Amino acid sequence: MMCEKCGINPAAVTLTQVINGKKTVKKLCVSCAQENNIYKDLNMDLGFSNLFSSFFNEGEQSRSVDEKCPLCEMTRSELIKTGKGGCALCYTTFEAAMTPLLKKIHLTNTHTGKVPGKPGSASENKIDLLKAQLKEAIEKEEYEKAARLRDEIKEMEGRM
Amino acid sequence: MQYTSGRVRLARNLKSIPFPSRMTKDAAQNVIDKVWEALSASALKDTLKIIKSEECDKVTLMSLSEKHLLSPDFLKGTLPRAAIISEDEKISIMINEEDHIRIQVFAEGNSLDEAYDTADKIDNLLAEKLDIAFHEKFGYLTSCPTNAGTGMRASFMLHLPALTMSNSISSVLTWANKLGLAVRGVYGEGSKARGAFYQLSNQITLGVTEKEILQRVNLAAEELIKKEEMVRNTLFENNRVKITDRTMRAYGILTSAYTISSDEAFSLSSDVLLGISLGIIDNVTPKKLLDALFATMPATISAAASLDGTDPISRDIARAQYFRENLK
Repeated sequence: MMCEKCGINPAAVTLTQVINGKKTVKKLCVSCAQENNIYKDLNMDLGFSNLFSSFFNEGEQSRSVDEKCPLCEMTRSELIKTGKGGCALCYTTFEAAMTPLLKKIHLTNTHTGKVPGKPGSASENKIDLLKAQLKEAIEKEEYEKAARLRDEIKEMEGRM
Repeated sequence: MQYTSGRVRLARNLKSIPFPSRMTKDAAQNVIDKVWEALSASALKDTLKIIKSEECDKVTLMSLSEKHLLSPDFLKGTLPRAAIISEDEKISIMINEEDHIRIQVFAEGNSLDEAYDTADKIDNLLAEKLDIAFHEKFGYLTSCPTNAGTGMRASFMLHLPALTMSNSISSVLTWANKLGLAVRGVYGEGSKARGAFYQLSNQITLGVTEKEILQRVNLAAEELIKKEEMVRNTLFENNRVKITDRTMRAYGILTSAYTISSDEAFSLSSDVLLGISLGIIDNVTPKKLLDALFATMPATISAAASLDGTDPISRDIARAQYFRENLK
């Protein structure tokens, strides 16, 4: 295969770039690759601090009122610019913005791991909770609710 | 083949104090005191020592960062930071780096499970005494949302010379990406690979359990080592003379040169390590070689040889001397 840039030399380097979540792959010859400066540390000056901006839902970016976190005083627009909260409370204050952001980074936004002070993972604890609710629903003869809970438990157990 | 080293890291924050990116110096000092107090009350106390950034000279801090006990970011900025490090240097708890608390435990051998168990115990000790930031849905809350959920990063440092020589690293990266894992240069985020040493770690921290992360990273490391060995054997069969010459030449330079730069030490050690694994070089063990490589990193060798750390030539002479004395 020939270099995708100059078309003269054989391609020797695969340049994979992920910028704001968009991946591009190019096959280049050594001299074009060097010209492209790919051997230099690419971490600088690519606006990586704004990496997450495109991860927020559009509605979040164009809200007219700029809310402020009561603990660290970070504003919604700052959060969207940096993609990072200023304190733990930001996750609650800006939950509507954080939920889709976390989903885009991790493909899910629900924690299933360890819970402080409790043995076992969050998903195991959640199943225990659902089982207790199921028992209660059956006792109260709320069969529609019980069926829904049963399905939810089944699904969670299937995932483990 | 043994992996060179493994590490498990847990990121934690305190509930009512802004993250280090937005905290005051007083708050930072307060976090250091609180964490140290919590650990001082535990059975671990006697094996731990605290190193405060404000009371420690730069060369010592840099040397700790070369050993991965501190991150490069720990050395930046003016915020009071501290590291609580165990005597055997298997545990390092960084305070006020990107997050309030980062528990790091280093692993030996081919599994991270034991290192996680230790980190988990320290985490439980801290949670008993401190108000740790946790959200029912999002899990442990971290300064950067890429660490939220478990706050856990499990990694192995792997030596992949044959995959590097055969230009297979880009396909390794793609493969790792698909598994939610990342392969980076040996100095972690943003650093290039030196001497075919790579770090394999999980990318995703939310929506997976700690156990799943361990399994995934353990399995991927095993798989990469298998692929490396396969390519290594084929490369060697087809290029016996060339590879034998390359590794013996590297050993020769490493054990007889008068000056050796840090980059050169990495690439020579990488070639010698390859020679050892192929049975070409048998008068040095991988452990001895890697110990020498880390003992001669710029700040570490400067501190050991009482150099001021700013003169690269005297450092390169000291490094070469160390290799001559310890590897022959």
